Amino acid sequence: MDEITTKIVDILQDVTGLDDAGQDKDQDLFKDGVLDSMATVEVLVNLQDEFDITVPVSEFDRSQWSTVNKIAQQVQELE
Amino acid sequence: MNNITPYSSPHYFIYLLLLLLPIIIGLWFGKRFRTYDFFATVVILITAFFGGNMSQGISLLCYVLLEIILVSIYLAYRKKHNSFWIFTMFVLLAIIPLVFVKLDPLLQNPTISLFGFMGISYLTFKSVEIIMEIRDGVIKELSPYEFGRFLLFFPTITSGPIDRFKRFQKDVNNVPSREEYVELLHSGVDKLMKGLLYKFIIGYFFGTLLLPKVQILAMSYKGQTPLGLSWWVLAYMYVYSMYLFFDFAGYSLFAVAISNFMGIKTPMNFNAPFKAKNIKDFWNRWHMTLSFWFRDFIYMRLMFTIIKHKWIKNRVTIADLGYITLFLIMGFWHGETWYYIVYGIFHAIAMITNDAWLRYKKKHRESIPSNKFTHAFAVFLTFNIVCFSFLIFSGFLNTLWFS
Amino acid sequence: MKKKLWMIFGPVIVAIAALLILLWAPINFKTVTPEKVQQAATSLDVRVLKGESVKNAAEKENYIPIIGSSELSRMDPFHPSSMAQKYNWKNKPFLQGNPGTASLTQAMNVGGMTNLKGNKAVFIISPQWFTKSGVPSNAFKYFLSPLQLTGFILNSSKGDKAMNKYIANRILDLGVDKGPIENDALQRISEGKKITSFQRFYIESFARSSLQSQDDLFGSISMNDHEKEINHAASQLPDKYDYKDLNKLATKMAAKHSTDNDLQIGNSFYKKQLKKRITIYKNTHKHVTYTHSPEYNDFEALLYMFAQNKTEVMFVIQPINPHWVKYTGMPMSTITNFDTKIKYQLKSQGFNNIVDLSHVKNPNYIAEDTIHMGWRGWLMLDHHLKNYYKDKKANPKNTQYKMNSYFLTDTWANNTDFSNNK
Repeated sequence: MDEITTKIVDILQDVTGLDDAGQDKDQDLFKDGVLDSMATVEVLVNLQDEFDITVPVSEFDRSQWSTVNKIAQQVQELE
Repeated sequence: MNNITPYSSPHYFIYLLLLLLPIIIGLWFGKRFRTYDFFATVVILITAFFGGNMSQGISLLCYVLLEIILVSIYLAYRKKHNSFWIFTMFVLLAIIPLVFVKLDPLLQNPTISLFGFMGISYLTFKSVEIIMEIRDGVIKELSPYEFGRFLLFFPTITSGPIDRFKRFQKDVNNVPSREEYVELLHSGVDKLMKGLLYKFIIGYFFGTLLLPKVQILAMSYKGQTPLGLSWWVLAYMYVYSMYLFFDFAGYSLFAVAISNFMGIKTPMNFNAPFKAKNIKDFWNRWHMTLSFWFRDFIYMRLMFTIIKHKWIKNRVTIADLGYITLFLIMGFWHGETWYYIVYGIFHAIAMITNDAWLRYKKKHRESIPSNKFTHAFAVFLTFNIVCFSFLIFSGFLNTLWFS
Repeated sequence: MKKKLWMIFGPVIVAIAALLILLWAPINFKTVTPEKVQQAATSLDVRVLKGESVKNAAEKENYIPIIGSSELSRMDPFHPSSMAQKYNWKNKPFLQGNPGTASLTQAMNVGGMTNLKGNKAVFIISPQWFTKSGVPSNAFKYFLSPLQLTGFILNSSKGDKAMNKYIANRILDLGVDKGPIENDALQRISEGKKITSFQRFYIESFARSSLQSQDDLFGSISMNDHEKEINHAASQLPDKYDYKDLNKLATKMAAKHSTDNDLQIGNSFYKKQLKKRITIYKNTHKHVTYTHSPEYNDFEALLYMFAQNKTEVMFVIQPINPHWVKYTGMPMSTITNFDTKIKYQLKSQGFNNIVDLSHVKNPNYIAEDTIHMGWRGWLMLDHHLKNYYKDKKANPKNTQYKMNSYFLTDTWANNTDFSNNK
């Protein structure tokens, strides 16, 4: 779990270019403007490559991917 | 008798609420009367589409039949295979009727306009969503009945909001508890009243009382000044923008309110759009179900494909390309006239500029002030840019310059 | 739970109750004051035309209506409203007409003015109404007042049957749709049947009473206001009324206002409407005729309404700017034939007070622009109105009308050889 979270935070920081992105694991990434559509897609593509999972764009329900913790949970389920 | 456009007059609500009464009583006692729902749907469809010469109603039936067949075949196909080209073909087939209807003003062909009925765009959005989600494997089972019920859900049939299938199913297969239902009634009554205020009072004031007067005044400068411009054109811009918002937001509130009475939480379409602080924010607040649809089913998919296949490296280029594609499609969707297309391009440019500004701001965070006044200025600027885009959208410039 | 429900639905129920009381309770909302009537007399607001309460209040005061169309908004100093103010006519004009109102709209309007009974009126006829296709459906629908329509339906049990049939038919033909019950009632009237008692009940106690309350409540709030314009116009007139002097003044003023063209068309109108495309009008009216038109039947319906109200009417045939006539190549016979036909229709039924301004000796500056009277045109009319406006009551000798339903037929609408047949 910790490993997954670290990787996700790395991806987030990489994509957004923000050093503090994903520090708070329960921060709402969409509401706080950390992720826009473009960044979201980049995160998804990175997750796909990193964890070797397929995230269908339509299964991507914003409310279930809105925090680092939630993303980690989704990744685990899809792995 | 003529077709009765849903929610177009205050009288409509008296009849509509009478029709809804059994549904409301049923839900109050924790029951959904499927047969009665069906009956109510038929009544609304008949009044809305089969008045007059019935051509709209027949088009609607043919359209729904076509989409049901397409979706069923694709579902059966998808269970065994998953070819990109077959998928593309089905999406194209699903939008063909809409394309025909949108081409009508261009071709002026009387046969083509036979495809048209009020609300075809919104049904097409729903159908395409279903095909895409079948492809993604999100929808695995779907009976023609469920599909038809989703397409023909009458509170939203003519102009949205555009609900999503899975969300809709969750509500429709569930009976809200008494407490939940009271909350839904509360929200429904609030929205209904707000909608009446928006559409029949404020919208009427701007659209029926003010707009024609301003239009006449603005038109009187035609050929008198360069491009016929006058302060009245500016007045027209604001009055039209207000009318557009209050009329459409009012309408959307009705659709959500009536859905609520039926125990369905249809998503909202507007969230104080004129408070937006930039154009991106605006599209998250204006006609939300449409912009989210475009975001999820066109923009994000396009981005996803481009990034995954690494066709283009520069992410700014990818994003800009996405905006141009998205807003051009939206422009063409509105209709094949120059002003809808220009409206699309205008918004694409606004989005690209906005992104560039946000990048610049990110880099120079320290030197750019951010306070109450800059926020107020941002809202003011966004509002005016949006209103200007609506002036293009209104087609008034077309009347002023070319006819 | 009960409290919750009350919190949700209570306000709605209270609001609905308030609305019901406002619209249907037999309360008389007194909003029409003499000041309102004075403003309404020159306001030309559509609500005044479509309403009833302001006009009926005016009939109780010293107003005589001038019923017409777009010419009424040509408010130069010689406009009757201006003249009446300056020279203190005992009765004042009450203007009723807008661009697009023609005979049928005015028939409905006159039908709704119950207090016109036994009084006088002035009616300005525009030859341009009498086109082959008659009044455009859009224009009629726009000006059709739901209130006057309900009045017409309820009155259909009285009055001339042929006229009621004709009007109901015409309303339906023009594509009016004011609700299923109203439509069915019109259908019955058009077939010569009586409306059902349910229709009467619904229209009388439901539809009409609400429309009346609406007219009382909203019919005269924030109307257009032309009082300043009229005051300004009147202030340009000399204190002493002398026709010859005024005639000179009108010519002088008109000339000053029509300097940028040699058609005697007012500058502002010319600049806005004509300058750019004047040439497309050259010789376009060569084949225009005003003698074949359903408007003649609509006009007859209007005459019936006047007759029914025993109203004494002065009819004015509006002049066309002679320079414009020449420019557009309209043959003089077009106007002459129209005159003959309309006068025949009027005189043969006892409407003998006709002021024909379409053929005058000196037509210089008789119109303000192309087809709307103004300047000397108004002044010539004022000359007749001056005496007519001395008394508001109709002279019973002048209201002995002999109505003839032949004028409601297609045959008449298309007849040009009428001088010796019926």
